[in-house]
Amino acid sequence: MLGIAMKLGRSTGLRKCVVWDLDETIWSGRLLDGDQPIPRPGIVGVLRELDRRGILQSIASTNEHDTAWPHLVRLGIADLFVFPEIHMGNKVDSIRRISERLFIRLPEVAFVDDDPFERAAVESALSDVLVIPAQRYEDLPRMAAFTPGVSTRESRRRREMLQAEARRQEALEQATSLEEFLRSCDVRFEGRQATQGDLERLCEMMMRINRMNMTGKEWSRDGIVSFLTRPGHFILVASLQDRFGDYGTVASAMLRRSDDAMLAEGMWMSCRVGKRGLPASFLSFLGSFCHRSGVRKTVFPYRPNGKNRLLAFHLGQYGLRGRRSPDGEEIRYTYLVPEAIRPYPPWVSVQCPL
Amino acid sequence: MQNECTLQGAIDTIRQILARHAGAAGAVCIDPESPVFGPRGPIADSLRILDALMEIENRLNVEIPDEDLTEKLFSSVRGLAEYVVRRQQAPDVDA
Repeated sequence: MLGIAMKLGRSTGLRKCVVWDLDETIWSGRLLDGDQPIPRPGIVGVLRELDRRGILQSIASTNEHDTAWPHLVRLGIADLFVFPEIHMGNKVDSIRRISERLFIRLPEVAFVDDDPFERAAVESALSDVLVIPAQRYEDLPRMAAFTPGVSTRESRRRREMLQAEARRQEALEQATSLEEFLRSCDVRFEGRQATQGDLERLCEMMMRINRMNMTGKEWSRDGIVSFLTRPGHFILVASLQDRFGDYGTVASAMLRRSDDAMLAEGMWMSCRVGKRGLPASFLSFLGSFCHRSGVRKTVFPYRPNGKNRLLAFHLGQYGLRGRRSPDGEEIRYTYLVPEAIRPYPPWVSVQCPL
Repeated sequence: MQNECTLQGAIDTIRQILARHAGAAGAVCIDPESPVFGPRGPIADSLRILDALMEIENRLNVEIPDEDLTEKLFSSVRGLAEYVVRRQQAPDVDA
């Protein structure tokens, strides 16, 4: 199994999305030749297992959408795919678009196709994508690249959240202004202190979130448990809902009290729901918590790693200023409370039972 | 890639890049005094603004350190262009 990735020289890191071809991959037969497609043996089980693990699935197929889609519906698997690209355009562009719409980087994408030409084209243009021959489809659930260490409510519902995001995007395109649209979304933010019940989701966020991950440091499960129980140590979490769906726990921060300051040892936010005002809401919640805890400031030692610039951008947009350390490895953002605490975005209703 | 450029040149380049990332019809519809980011700017999506910023850095041959990604830097297209020109002339300048 792992031999595929090794032979192709690809990283075996966790893949968050599989992009499938249709003809001779998900089913036997070619629609453009007028064949009646027959699902490959066991393929539905493979698709459902990946979905259960929270791995997103999409389609890049050279076919007419209106011809192919009814077959996916008939097989009962149409709902398993997000942002499918079924058209006569090229698959490299399709995979790029899918990756952008899912907010997933190309090194987190896999592509399955029976056609050596299509596989070679993707390997050549998108060298970070893990390319797998279609005849190996039954191996996918056994590959490390598709075996996340934890499974949470959020991961099991990831596809539904993406489908909610697609409905939101359609509604946004109909709206006359972004502010008016956001006010109509009924965005609800809830912030609270984490408990042992949040452990799985905390582990998952720390593993999956790259773009808004303050340090990139990996925390062990035991390390998080220890942090949860130690005096003067706090883990804050936030969840988000709107009229399109419930996104579950989407932000967390680990704070350690030191005299009159809180030091953030880590902070993670999902960029998928950032457009609803999550970064500003979470920072306001965090500032209020620190103020109520009696400290004068919170320090965020952000470590740039080439992937997490988005977090620095949001800290800056919240009005926080960062100072780079002499060795250049770290930028320390200082958040004075209460004076730097900003009001929540006007379209967000807030519940913070602290 | 451009080396040092005039303020107007930087404004024009930034407007073109923002227009493309915003999916707008053309740079002409982006007012140099308008915010770069947010509900009142051409781009409200932070992932898109970072992609646009990377293109601005490449096209104008300037590196914007993460600590300079302040609210003020994005308060207007002109302000961002002024920063870029200052940084081209003195790479250690603050936002």
